Amino acid sequence: MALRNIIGAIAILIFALWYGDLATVLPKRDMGDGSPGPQFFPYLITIMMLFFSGILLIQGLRGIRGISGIADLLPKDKEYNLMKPIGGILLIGLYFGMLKLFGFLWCTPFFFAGLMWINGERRPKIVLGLSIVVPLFLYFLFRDIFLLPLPQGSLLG
Amino acid sequence: MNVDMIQGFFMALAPTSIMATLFGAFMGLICGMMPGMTTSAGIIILFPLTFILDPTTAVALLLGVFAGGMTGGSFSAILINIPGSPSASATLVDGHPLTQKGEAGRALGISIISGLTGGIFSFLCLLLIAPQLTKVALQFRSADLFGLVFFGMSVVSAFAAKSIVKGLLSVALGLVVITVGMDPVVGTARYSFDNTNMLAGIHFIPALIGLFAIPEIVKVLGEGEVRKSAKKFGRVLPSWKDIKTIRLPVSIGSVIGTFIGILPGAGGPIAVFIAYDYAKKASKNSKEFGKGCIEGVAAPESANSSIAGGALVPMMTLGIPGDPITAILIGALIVHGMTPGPLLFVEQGPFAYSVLFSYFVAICSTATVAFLGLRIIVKLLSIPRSVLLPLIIALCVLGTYALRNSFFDIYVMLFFGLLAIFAKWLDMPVVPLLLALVLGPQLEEHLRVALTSSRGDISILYTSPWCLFFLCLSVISFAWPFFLEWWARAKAKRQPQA
Repeated sequence: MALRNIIGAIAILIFALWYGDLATVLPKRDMGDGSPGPQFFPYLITIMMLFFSGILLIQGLRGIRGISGIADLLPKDKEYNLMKPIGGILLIGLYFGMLKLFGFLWCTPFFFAGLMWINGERRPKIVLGLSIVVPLFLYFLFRDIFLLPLPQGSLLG
Repeated sequence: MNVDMIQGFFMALAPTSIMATLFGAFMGLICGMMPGMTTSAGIIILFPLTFILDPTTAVALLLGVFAGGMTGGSFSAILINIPGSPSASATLVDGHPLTQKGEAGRALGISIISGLTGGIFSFLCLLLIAPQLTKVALQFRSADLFGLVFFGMSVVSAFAAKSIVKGLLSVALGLVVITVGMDPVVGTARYSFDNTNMLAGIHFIPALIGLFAIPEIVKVLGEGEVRKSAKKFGRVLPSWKDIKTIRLPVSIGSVIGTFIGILPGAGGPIAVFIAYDYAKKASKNSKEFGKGCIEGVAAPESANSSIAGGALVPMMTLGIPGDPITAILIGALIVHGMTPGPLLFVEQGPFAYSVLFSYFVAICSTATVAFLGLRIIVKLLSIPRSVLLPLIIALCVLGTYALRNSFFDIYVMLFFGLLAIFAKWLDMPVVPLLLALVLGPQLEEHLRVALTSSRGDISILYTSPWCLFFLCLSVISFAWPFFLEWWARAKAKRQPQA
């Protein structure tokens, strides 16, 4: 955990410095009588982040002798299949990106099939059937019964 | 009884509200029961459906999911030895041995009856305490409200048991998010980068969907498929002898669950284990506990159910979430134009009381649905995850998009999903971040209004008695887990010497 703490603390420290720097350029707009302006709260948050990420960094550095390399960054459970979650995240990211271009109706069947396949479902009839039927059902359920707006694509509806 | 209470009663008993509660209870039982799903996830998934409903019906549906989820979590604990929610952990100690003895139906029946009794007790407490607490809360000024919200946020220590530093960093990241958009006091744009979406601020519903749904799916993907078949469980309705046996443990569980539920952040798992422990000490059959004893199911189950009613007290009267589920419920109420807190009872009295009565309907609906549909619900345990996971993501997309018809919110959801994965990797709790998202805007607004009224004089925070009282409570709340840890260590040191 020490290596993770060091990396996490450095990431938050850098972010805090950037966030605090942006706070300095916010318009002042206080009443000139000591009452706090728009910068007040961001400054408090910056101090909080710098202080606690500093402590986390110290905690990480104190445990530096126990670091056993890159293995510290991986899940402790050796049976945990890391490739599936990575594939899943990439697929979810791709799906969200494509929604704007192709809309819910055209993107979701491919996403369904992809995630089912990643999760270990290999029967073609099941994958094909469910990845068409379920998104279609959701599409008509939300559009025609619940009357809710659905993501429409700029290239395909 | 005042007029608002009577109106609220009839609003909660409207046919549409009852239908919504029954549906919510059914879905809650399923979500609570399925390993890999949680009650929070169930509420998030069903949330978009509430957009087409009026606020009373919408809240009735979500309360149904809440009450159903609490009971559903115990079903999986009893049947497959996996608690569906952390507060169902104590139920499996005696619940699963009963299943192994071939008495799963008896255990499930006791669980439902105990949950119903605990829920009704906590509802009565809610109905008695909430209006009185509201009267006190209406006297609060901005400094007192700041103290109150600060106290609400102090519960992070309960969710950051492993590292308070990480818990507070999680709060800080949540507070960063709430500073994006318009300043709440003077209306200046902050951190919007000239983007119109950012100027409107980050809506916390996509954020919390991302925080809770995406990491859960990623976790389940790595674990692979788990198929669990439904078991045969025989008679479900408890016998008169069983009901007489569980009277004392149910009473103990109901009182403990309600009291601990009222304390923000005290948490369900604490209540159920305390209830289990007290029931064991008070029982004549204490040696049977852990081997499949119905009293060992009844006490934690009544506590588990009554926690929900207890948690609704600070939520409805003070606008403070006691746990992640009530934080999500506050978000849902705000989306429907109702902000929980003392003013809700003044400005929207009938609605506020309808929420309290809907909780009662939700408890009764859960028991009804659980008894009538038990065999169907249990069969759903065998739905493969390969179908469930893409379905959850698709529902999250639909729910997020329907909020403001914006793709920006979908990207926000993804961003928060990745942030939650990073937090999990760092062993940083995300519940404090959620609390900061819900309470942060009020914290900033009340603090700045208080300091503006005192012209920047910070003494207003300790000269106001209520504010000082809440700040002292916050210190105790922060320090309490450390004190307990110190106490346990000191006790452990003393024991070997003895």
